[in-house]
Amino acid sequence: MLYKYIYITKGNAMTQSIDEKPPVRFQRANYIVSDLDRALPVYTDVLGLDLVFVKESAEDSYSYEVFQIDRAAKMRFAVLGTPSQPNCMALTELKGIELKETPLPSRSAIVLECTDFDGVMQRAKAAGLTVFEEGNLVTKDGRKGRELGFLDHDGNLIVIYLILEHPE
Amino acid sequence: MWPGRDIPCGRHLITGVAMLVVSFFTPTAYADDGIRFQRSNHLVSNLDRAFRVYRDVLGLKLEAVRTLPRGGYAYDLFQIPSTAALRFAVFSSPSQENILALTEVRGVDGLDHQEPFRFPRMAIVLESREFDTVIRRAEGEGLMLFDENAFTTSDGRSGRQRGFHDHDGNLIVVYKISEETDK
Repeated sequence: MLYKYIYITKGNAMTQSIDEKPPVRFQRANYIVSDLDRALPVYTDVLGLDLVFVKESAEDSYSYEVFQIDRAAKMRFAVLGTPSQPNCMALTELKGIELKETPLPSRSAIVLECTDFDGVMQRAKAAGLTVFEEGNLVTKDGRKGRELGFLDHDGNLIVIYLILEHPE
Repeated sequence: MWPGRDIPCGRHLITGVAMLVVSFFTPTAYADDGIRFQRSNHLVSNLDRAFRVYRDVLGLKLEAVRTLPRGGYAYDLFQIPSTAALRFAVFSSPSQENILALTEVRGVDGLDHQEPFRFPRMAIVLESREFDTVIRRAEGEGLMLFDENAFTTSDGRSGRQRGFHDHDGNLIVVYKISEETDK
């Protein structure tokens, strides 16, 4: 399927009249979790992402190979998104094997901009998640705002931010 | 009624239309969703080496590199010892501004990431129109690649996918829907 896309350079967006896919596109991030039923409310109820689908992974799923997962493990796969970014996030559940502790420092993070910053923070705390102290955000282009990190139940790092001030 | 009587209505109209266009075509268009996936961020031990993977192999555009202030928020979030020195790089795809970031950690014993992680906890998945070219580049860079795999999407499209590690063991999967030819 071909479609038009928006080309962005140095913070300015402009339409590109090219009826083809861009050469490369970030599709999604995918976190490993130990309990999908426990993890999903973090991403849906706390963050506000939409659950697109959940499926049992096939026994020959490619995830076994690339994640180097013991074939004895049972796997489920959930895809989440927003109305503007369908399928931007995924969770892969592993059952039947012991998940090792998440190594420190954390190796990866997902970063999301959210308008309901305080609501997400309150819901994360109410869910019993590890929530870091709030930070002051200053972007490279001078915008100022708030940022907050927290861990899902499996130690996966999630960072939210809200821009409050734009430079003149 | 137009505010500011001394300003012609036409100027307001042009400004309004311009704002509508800008708001539609910039990331703030996502604001109505309440939440927007901005990027994933991955720790690496050598940023200059990692550029060869994310810029040269994958074809992402390197937007900026900067040194992070010692003791800044990244230290807290990633739980990085304060003795480390951090640099931060951000990349864009043609349609996604600042969609991926790398944080380089230097100067801490045991964090040199020389061995790929035995058990990655995250993967990033990218659609690539230049699938075969990306794979050739990854092989040329000496990255650890998994065997190629055929897949069918939940909506019935078939394609090819292949995973590989960057030099620090971060897992990257690229895919391409099969009916398209390499451009």
